[in-house]
Amino acid sequence: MIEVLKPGIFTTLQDLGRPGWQSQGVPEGGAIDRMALRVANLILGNREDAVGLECTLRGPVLRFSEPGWIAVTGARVAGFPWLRPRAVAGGEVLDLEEILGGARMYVGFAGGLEVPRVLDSASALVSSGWEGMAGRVLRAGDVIELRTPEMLPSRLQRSWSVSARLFPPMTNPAVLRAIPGPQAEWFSPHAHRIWQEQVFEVSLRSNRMGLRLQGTPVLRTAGPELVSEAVAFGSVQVPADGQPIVLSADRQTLGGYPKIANVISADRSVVAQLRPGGHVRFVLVSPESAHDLVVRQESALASLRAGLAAIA
Amino acid sequence: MVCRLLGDSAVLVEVGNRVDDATAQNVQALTEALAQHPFAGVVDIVPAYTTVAVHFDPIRIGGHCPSKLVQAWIERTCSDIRPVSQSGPREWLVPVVYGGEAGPDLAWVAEHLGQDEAEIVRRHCAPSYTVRAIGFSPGFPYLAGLPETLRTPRRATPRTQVPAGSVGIAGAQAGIYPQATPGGWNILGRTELRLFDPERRPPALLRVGDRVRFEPVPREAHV
Repeated sequence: MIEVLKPGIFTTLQDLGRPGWQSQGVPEGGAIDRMALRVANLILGNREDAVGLECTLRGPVLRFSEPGWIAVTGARVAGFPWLRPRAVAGGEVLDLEEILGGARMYVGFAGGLEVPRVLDSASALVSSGWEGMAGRVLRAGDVIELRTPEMLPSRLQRSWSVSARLFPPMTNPAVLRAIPGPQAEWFSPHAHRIWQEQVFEVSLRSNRMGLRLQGTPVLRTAGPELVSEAVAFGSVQVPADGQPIVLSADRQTLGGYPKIANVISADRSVVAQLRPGGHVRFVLVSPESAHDLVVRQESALASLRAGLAAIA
Repeated sequence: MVCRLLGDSAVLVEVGNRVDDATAQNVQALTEALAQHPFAGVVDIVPAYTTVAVHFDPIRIGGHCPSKLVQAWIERTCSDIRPVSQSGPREWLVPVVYGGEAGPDLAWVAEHLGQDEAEIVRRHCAPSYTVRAIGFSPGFPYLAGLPETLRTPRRATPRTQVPAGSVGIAGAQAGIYPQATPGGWNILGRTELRLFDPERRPPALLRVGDRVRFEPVPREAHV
């Protein structure tokens, strides 16, 4: 059993979300940094889609009533092992408050967590109004049951860690690679230049629905209003004020703002890890290279999977 | 019909460029045809007013350019489109308690349009609406068919919480809030119909193409 002593700023249960229900108006949801959650689970011998904690900007303080194993991925936590397993003693209190570098830290639990699921997923969708942890952030006093792992890999006892090269590097300004969006031609060459050449600042109003950016407005020439249509992770919406929004995991399924571009899947972790006040610019790439990059990322993960299996 | 890339994991099919019944029927026909010819790696098919989006997993689709394979599947399926279900659209009668606590904006809408509340209810119940899209929140139906005489601006300040079942209007649109969520539409009343139930399959009660009528029920009946 895990007791939440302090919840942190915005800590939620997340797995890989509800990808099949968008036709029903249900956001895809799930971990924003999917790669980080999958790696935390792989380290511990869990299924890659097991539920863990997603902690934003400031993490929680947790008390374990029984011993177990956890793994921290995504952003680092001060004084805590990163990208490798960490044993937890029965009765131990874990202080995961001080998140460093990125915006989102993930905690995986060997065996996973026993939590209610809605539409085949435990991911919290705070906008849903659903009852229980599927509809809210964690609060002080919450109690979560740990699942007993069927088998703990013997590698947990040895000293090793996963290479950080699996994740796209965080530069300053950060770089989001993107392919042109469905309404790219609604913007003048001048607007495209502003969009591609400027460094945007990440707004405090960013959340799990979207990364809101601030800078010189990207204004479109007068034209028709867009009729609401489906959007995707990474869709770069440009409202009338010209301040782009990069849509994230909890985006609504439909959107009515023109989309100048779409961030590529391989840069999903960068979207997840940008902090308010951070700087970012866009680089246009071809759909072919977007595909090559996601394939490369997935095969790096496959190598990790094979490597971990080899050390049991 | 035009296919556009919506990132590297989705394709957006533009079925038409006018918001009308003919386009809506073509959207529905394409959605049904795609569902009847499954393609491994396609994750979700999302119809809206003039478009159908196909979300896919590029790794599972595979190949050198997955979006081209998905587009080829969409084009093949298009050549096999049949008219939408011969039985005609599904029809729903939605019972609504109008005004009072259930419909906090009915009085304002009546005043704004210079009518009495009963006339607003009569106008809202007169037409048969069509579900043009499901979105905004789980199970939320965007309804077309609101009479011109019921057009009102959105609330200047959206409510932080609109109760589940709230029946609202905004601009030319009408809708029903399936869950308690923030919202900026004018709320005329409330229904007890469960528009979204995560335990039901499919969880949304309504789907694109369905017809909806509203029917007033007395306030006491719902206490």
